[in-house]
Amino acid sequence: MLYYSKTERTITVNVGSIIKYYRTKKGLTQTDLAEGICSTSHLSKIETNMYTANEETLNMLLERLDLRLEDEKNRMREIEDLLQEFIESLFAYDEEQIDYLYVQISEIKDYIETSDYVNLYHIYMYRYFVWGRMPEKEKEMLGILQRIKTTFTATEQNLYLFIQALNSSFSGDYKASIKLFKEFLDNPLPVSKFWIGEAYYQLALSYSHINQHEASVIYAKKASEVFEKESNWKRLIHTQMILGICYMELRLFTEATALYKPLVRNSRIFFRDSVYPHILSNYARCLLTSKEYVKARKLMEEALELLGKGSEQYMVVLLNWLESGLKIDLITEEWERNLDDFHDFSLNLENKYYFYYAVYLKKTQFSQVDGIKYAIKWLYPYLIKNSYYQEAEELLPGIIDYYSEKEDSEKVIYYYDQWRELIQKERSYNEEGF
Amino acid sequence: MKKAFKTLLTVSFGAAILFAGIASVPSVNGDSVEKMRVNVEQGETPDSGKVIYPPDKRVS
Repeated sequence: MLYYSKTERTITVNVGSIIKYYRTKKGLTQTDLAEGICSTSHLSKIETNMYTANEETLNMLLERLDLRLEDEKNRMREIEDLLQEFIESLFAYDEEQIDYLYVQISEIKDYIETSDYVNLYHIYMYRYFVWGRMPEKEKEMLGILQRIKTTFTATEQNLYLFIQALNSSFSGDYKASIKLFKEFLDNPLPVSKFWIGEAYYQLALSYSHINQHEASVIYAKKASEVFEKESNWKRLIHTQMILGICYMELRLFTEATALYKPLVRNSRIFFRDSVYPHILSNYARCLLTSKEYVKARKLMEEALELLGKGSEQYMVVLLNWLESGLKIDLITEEWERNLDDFHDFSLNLENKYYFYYAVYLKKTQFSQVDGIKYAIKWLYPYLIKNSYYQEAEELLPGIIDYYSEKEDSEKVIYYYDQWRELIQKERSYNEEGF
Repeated sequence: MKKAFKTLLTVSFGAAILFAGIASVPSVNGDSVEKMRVNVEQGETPDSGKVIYPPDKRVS
């Protein structure tokens, strides 16, 4: 089958299913086709692959349908190649090719359903609908997969496991996703390298999302190796983006700088319209963490020029830009205008994270104390509740200072304890990752 | 009389400055705050915080 390594190629043709497919297509009944060759019930058994016809009967049936077995074998090979190319394009995020192949495959959908590739077809289509953000079709295909999963071969079952792992990741259940991807990789079944590379990549992504950055680095490096060998440049850039985020979170600034310099250059050359501004933004965030405000702001300003106003990514960059302005006391008219925009966009997006930050910044702009009071009441609890520990940690020095000045030692101790807990959580997360 | 006028002037100036101060504080729209409160339990959270993760689906 096509998901095995392609050293030896055995093509299986379900002759019965093919006969049924062409008979139906030509508008013939079983009686019409069987007349003078075999009985109708005999043909019925052949068509359902319950019975293998002898060569003579088979040839007569094929001849009546104007078919040649060799042609059908060739057609199966074409289907195999087509599906292989389709899934490879999906893994390489080759958008144009994905859509082109989807149309080609859809045109021969009925024929594929007569073949041994029917299960793979459904698994790949499901992946396509998930990638293409087609929730209705995705749901429909998931229903089909659940119905046919009892007919899966061992390898197909493993690919289905992969799909389930991916689903968990997309729905934000990263712990489940990690468990399932590891199960997929532990399975000693032969699957092509790109499945393995993608599983490593998804593990790196999931670990990073749950703040286990050290484990994420390990899997990102494994994924990079595969993507390099497979020349999957797009995914390689994506993997380096994850590595960049991890290095920053782990405060490995030397590694981060070494990574970002070529990453910024390569993405500017090859991915200017897609991930380049995202990479600029992440690099800027890294520079902000190491307190290189001026350089960081320059990068963010370039990213803001390239990103669509009000998009999720635009908001990320703008928030960092606004916060850095506040930190270095660069409150200009432009800053105020941008803060108003940020506030309005947060409402358009109905996004609490940005909204809380917008109000927090508005209050802090005029009074540090009001800002901190707001953070204590709204922003900080929200960040903790949604596991934005890094951001929560950033607020703690201000909160502790506020209570120190008020000489409220009980609260000072409470927030110091929270700080300790956050640091401990980070450490235990990383240990757990191993 | 002169002293009373001076006091009146000082109070007026004080009130004007205070008023200007209040007027310049950006207001946070009450309706929008309420709207967000309603969405607090239902709304979406960004998946990335202050960093941007690579896209995993078609970028629409």
